[in-house]
Amino acid sequence: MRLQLVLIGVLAVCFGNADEDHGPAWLLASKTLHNQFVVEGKELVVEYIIFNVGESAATNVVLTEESFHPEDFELVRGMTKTKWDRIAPGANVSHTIILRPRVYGFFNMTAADVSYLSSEDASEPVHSYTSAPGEGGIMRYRDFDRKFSPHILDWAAFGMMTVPSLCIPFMLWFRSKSKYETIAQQSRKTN
Amino acid sequence: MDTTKMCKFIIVVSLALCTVVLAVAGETCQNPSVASQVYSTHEASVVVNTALVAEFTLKCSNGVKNLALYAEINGQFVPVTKNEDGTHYQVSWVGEHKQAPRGVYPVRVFDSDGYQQIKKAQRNEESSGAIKALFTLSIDHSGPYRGPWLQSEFIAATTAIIVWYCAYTAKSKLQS
Repeated sequence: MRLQLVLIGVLAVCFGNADEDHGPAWLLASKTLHNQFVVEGKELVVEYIIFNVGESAATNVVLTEESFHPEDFELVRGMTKTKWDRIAPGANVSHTIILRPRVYGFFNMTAADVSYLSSEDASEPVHSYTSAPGEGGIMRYRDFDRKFSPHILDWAAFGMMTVPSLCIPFMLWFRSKSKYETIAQQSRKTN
Repeated sequence: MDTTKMCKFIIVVSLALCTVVLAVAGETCQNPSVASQVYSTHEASVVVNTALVAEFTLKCSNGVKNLALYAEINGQFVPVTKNEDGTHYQVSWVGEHKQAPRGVYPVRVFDSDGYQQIKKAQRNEESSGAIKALFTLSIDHSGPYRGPWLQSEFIAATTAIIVWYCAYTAKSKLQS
């Protein structure tokens, strides 16, 4: 009886350690902008997606974003340094930050850092990078406004400017018409 | 002798199990108090997809920190990310504008026990609506601004055509 219990215990320990045969974790990370235009003073949505294409779970996954300087970009919502305890093999996670550019001009969007432990007994973290969206332009707010805003004030000013050239002939005609009608009525009354 | 040894063995194993159970129970957050800040996309003229983001700090009365949390946001179950010391958490979702119409989005946050129950419910193809969340946040999404309903150029052109039409009919009446 005791021997059977010991045998079961040994077998359990052996099968419990079957994970050691799996390969290490391997993370691929993408960084994408969800903006059609990047405009000074308007929201910029940046999404990071991390995929675990390895065979083991990645632990202590830390994503660090340092390329958006606080002088050039205001962080509206989101954390630039985040951590996931564990990403299972075949799983993916995503993280989003919202920024607002303070300046305009050319900007090179570089990659963010990802570090993780590729297996449970790993001591040194693996350092990796996300993809980089590359160089792009941040539009000046004035240029964007000139192209896309409804220009209601401009149209109202235009309307005010066309009023004299429409109203002055109309008033002249109306005045003479009402004078003529009064004369015609008076002559009809006398007749 | 064997019976005494067996009894001692059973007592030791039971004590060990109790310690394990208590240690695991200590990981659950008791009386969570949450301070949150949320965000939803407001500009559809520059942003292609809608983003819903909720950041929150969590204080538990039993002082537990650095929890592994999971959230249900707009129908998806996602792990909650946190900062390095485990005090600040964030849940985010990005999708097409039509998948996030205007409204209030509840974000249910679960601890690892709740998440296990959800996975079990999903495996058994049951609804996970009955599973109790640790707490719920709300994201009030007022809908992205896509521009005015009518283009101002359209209004200006229509007004000009109406004025011209009135003048033309008046002139025709006079001349007839």
